[in-house]
Amino acid sequence: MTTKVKFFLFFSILLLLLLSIVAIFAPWIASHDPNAINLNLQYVSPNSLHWFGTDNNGSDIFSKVVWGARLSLGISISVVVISATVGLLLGSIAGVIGGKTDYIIMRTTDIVYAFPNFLFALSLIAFLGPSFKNLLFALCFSSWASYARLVRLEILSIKEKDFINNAKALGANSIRILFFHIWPSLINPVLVYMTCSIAGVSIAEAGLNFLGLGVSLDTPSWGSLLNQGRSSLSLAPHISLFPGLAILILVLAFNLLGEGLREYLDPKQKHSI
Amino acid sequence: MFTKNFFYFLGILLVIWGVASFSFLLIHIIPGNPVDQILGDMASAVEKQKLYYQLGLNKSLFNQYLDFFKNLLSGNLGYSLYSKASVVSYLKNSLPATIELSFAAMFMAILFSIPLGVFSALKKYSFFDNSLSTFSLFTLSTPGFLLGPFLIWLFALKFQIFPAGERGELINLFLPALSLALPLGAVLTRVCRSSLIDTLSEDYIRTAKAKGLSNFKIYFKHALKNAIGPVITTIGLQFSALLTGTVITETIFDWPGIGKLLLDAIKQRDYPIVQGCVLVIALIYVLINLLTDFAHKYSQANQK
Repeated sequence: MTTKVKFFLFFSILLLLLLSIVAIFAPWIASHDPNAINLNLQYVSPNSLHWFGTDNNGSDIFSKVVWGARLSLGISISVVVISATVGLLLGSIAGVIGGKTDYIIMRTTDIVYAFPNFLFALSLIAFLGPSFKNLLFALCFSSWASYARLVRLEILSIKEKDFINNAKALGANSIRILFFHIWPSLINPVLVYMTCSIAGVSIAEAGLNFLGLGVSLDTPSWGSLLNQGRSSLSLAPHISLFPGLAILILVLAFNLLGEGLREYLDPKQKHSI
Repeated sequence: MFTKNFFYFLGILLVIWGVASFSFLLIHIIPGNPVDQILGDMASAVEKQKLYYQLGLNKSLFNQYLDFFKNLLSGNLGYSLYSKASVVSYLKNSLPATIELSFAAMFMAILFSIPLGVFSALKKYSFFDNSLSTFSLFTLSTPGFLLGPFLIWLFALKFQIFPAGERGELINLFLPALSLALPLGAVLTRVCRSSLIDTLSEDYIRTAKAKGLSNFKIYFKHALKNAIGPVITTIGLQFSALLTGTVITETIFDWPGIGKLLLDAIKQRDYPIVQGCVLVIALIYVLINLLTDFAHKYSQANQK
């Protein structure tokens, strides 16, 4: 491990640990009720009582940012885990069975893959209506396809390797080969892809909330807070500043983790961004 | 060869069909009755009935699907629920603004990223290279909806150098294009750098050096020509990513393009326009990716 990789991994894990603590203990860390409206306290600058100031409704921004961590981390992690699982299953079925099954699964995957992810999620929520469930569904639905493609391609190249032929010669059936021989060698590429794509998911989540097409409006989220602050950028830039910094830190941590993990687990792939 | 090409084109048609079907199905995934969703509770029964027929919901799903494709093939994407103007006319009005913005962003990104990429590849692991890669990692972690308001705050409110969007003079293009160009340029710089470093480690570069060619000739005649392939592929792929990026950027900078049209239509629940925008953006995206794929295949065939 080079110093650069060590630094990337250490720094990103530290940041993510910190954010996770904030997300898990949000009810105890938040100083105020994030949805409390107090029209006497509009646009208050950061002070000792309201650490990050207040927004146009007089709600405490610090508490909103703390609760927003829960949403951002929760959505990003669950979307990546769910879509990786779906992609792993479908890609495995396509890669192992082959033939017509492979063709049908992969053409469906192609259609989903060809669609621009963000637009896909955005249009789904535009018609389904904004809510936590719909946001989760839309983001998962738009991102499983790349996992299925990755898994299938990996399986096709693993299938030709000697150790698979050896296992076959010893009488292992395809289920056993899949579970005990193929999946263990898939862990690294899938894990690397998961960490590399999680930054994109959290950007998409915040972006959808920014446009008002994420969770319902009474759930505090960084994206919607950023959008709220947009109309008073000169009067109260702190409304946008703190959720903006939070998004930047989260995405940076995920990017560093992805970069570090890729160079650690999979040093051959130099080209991917 | 023929069967391979045949399946390739069949795959493309399938993707286009899938994209079109998706935009058709959107109106049917609205929970409950779409007419109630659009008009709200206050609407009269007559109005509801009218809209019901206008959307063609009285027919069976299969017939609606057939009608949709018939209209699509004759270039009709339906009509706005409010202004009654055709969706195609809306798209025609807003597409130029989006094309202008994305080309400007791409131009800007290429303008600064290729020299930076080349320079940091030639000075690999220098202070300049390291600080540039740190900076590009930061830029990559700054989504458009963060960068946009920040640029507005800095350049339009604090220092009042550039106007914050609204199409018109050329100078109005600067901020929205910059907010799209920065992350794009970061990606291009990285690809350009790593591709040039790879090329410079090839044998024929060593041969050229041994022949006594000047560094200038080696870098610009031999290395850059071969290193540019991945950069062009990335430009193509990023161009399509740019299209979806414009949805947010256009909203922030009040840029009258297709992305803003889409979001305004979503807010007004003008669903035919939403469907039209989704279809057109997705089709352009698919086509650009296809062209990139072609260019990639063509250049690879040439290299062999």
